[in-house]
Amino acid sequence: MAALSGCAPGTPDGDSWRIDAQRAVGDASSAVLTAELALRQHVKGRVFDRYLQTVLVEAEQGVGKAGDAISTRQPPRAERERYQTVTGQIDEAASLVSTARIAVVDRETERYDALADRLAKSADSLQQLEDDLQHPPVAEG
Amino acid sequence: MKKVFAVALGILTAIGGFVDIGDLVTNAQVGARFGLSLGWVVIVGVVGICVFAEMSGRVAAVSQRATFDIVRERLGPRMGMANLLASMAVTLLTFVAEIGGVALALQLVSSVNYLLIVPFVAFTVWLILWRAKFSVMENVLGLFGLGLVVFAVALWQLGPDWGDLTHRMMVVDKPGDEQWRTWAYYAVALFGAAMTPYEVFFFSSGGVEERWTTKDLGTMRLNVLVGFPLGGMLSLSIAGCAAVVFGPIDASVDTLGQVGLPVAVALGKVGLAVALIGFVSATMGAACECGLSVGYSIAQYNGWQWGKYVRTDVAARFHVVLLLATLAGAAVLLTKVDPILVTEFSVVFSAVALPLTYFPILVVANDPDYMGKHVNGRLANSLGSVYLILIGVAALAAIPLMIVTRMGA
Amino acid sequence: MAQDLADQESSKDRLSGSLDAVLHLLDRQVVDADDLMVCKVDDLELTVFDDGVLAITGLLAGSAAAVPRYGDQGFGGLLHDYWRRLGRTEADRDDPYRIDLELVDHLDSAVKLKVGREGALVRQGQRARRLNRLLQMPVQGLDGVRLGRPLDVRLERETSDPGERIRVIGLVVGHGRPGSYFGYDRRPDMGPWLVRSVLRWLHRHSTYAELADLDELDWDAGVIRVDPARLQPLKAVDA
Repeated sequence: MAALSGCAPGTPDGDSWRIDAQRAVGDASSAVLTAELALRQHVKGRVFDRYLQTVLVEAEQGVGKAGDAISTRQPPRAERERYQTVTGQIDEAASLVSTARIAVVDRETERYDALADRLAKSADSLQQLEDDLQHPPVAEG
Repeated sequence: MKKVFAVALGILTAIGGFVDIGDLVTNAQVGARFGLSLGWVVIVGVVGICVFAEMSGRVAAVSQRATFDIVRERLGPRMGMANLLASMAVTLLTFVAEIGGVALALQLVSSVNYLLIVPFVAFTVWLILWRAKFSVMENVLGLFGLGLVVFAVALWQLGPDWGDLTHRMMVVDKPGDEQWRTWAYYAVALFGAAMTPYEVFFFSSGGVEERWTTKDLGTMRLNVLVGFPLGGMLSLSIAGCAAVVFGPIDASVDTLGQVGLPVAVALGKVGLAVALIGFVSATMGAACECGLSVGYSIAQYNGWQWGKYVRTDVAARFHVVLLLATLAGAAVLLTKVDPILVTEFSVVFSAVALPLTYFPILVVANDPDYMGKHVNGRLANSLGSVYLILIGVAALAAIPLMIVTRMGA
Repeated sequence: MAQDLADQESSKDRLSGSLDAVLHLLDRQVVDADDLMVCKVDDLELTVFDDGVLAITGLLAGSAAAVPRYGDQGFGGLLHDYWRRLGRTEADRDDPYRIDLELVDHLDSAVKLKVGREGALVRQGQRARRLNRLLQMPVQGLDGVRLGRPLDVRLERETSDPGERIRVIGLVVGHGRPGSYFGYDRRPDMGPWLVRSVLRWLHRHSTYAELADLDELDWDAGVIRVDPARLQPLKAVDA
């Protein structure tokens, strides 16, 4: 795997997209982690309802911004596959955070734990993706 | 009790320099990404601002001349105007951001969209600047702003590895996954924030507002030695809390809501409530400090009467400037620009304004015409010269670093 | 708030002795009898008397005095031109506000007036010359070689008749690099060491010319001529 990933040298364009994608995925995972942390603290009775709401709204905006930043950029040919993965995962994360935000605004406190678990999983896969983006793309064939 | 309020000016000045909206988020961001490895920058910054605030406070007490008065007198009208434009850019941008910051803090309390709160905040700030007595303003906002001490309590409660934390602070090193140039960018940004020009504008003009004379030099020094180290301690506490909570999960911090979460983790709702009071008061205090500094600088450059120590109609032009600045601030915020981004951007102008502000202070503090027998001693001069060099280096490095690191991304 | 009487040393009146115009007077804050702020000293009025004495007779303020301070070349010149154009309809556009020197009580860290500030600034018609004009005039040797320009003007209060005027007794001549307003070139003992050393090195070629030693001071042509041999080393204004 490592030998194969060395086959396709990062072109200037490719590297620039890769770095931006890493940043976007990092920002998205930070927002998701913040949402998870805030929900768990609320379950423990440590955070006010309104505070939690604002944090969730800010997290939702954060994931949205990250998605916008990377989805509008033209990916180089070698990165097309990863482009799909990145935008796909960020979109999933965005809809999950939105679901959480809706639950919070409606004060559906019984769902917070389950939502926090799902957010944790989403953050995990985003962080794995961020690590993967550390390397240039695997060459085709 | 009076003694406690005697240092309110120093505390309020420090609040504007160390825990305004930009610093609240930046300190947490730095803590989350770099741990306390940039803590030494805060300490260096605290010493620097203490040295120059003491000088400018002494000049104000002995000669009744506030800082921007001296800047124009020493630099002449051309360089003085260059400094005025640059420091106006910093102070005005920060003023805009602080009004936004108060609205963001109130949004955390009420969950109402911050844009709806902005006009209300702008009006309140203007009312304070126009009507409130200087001493009442500094006492109330300074005292409640100290609510941010809850971050130090929270850090204690979170029980981090103290040996490890302090070790990281003293060693000039960075975490493995960050680059040196980003580290350098944040070092320069934190240093510039600790020594922002409007701190000395406000402190020296505040000294004249308080009618300090040579008899009050002791009080002035107490203000400096209590206020700024306290501000630095608050900065480090916020960074430390973020390092302990956000560092391990590898999350970055860029909203005010995230800044408060570690306090909730450590102390629950009570701590969070105190932190919220601290957020609102500190940003409101910083807004007043910046707003007044805009008025002070412009009035002192032009020779107009300024200050809250005279009736409003006696300092008419000064108050018109304050009103226009507040209106402009509200207007800019209503374009939905991100207030935190605005403060990060003002670092650029700070780079130019810093040397042009501190150099004249150092020179005048040595001038017997102004100071009589209270000219600088050896310690003030040595420290002042060293910091002048540091400021020059930071000024030169700020803009290239900002470009190369894309504002610390 | 009255100053402590023991601090009189810091409020001695500079105008009673000798002083440097740019260092001690220009751009100072003007304060009235009630300690309220009036204006800045944007320029100084110079009068050429019949007995050949050149003396300061008034303080000038307002944009008509301040705008020319930005220079008469390059950006400053453009600014002045543009400012003039904006006020073409006003007959007194170039007429600055004036405070007669008689109204000045003393000079320490600010210029203190004897009167209140109400109506203190008056436009009195453009009489006499301005210090700014003198400061912009190139100083040339006898063969036209440029020696520099006046960085500062040394003043001294007349002790004899008539009327105790504040007369110009000499010019500080140099090349006007940054730092010319700080006075380090004239005071060898002012701290801090680093700043003083750098600035004194930058101004090592500054010299002093007594007014009597000048060959020519042509206001209209805008040039000062002096024999380089008559230039003296620069000393502090306090003996």
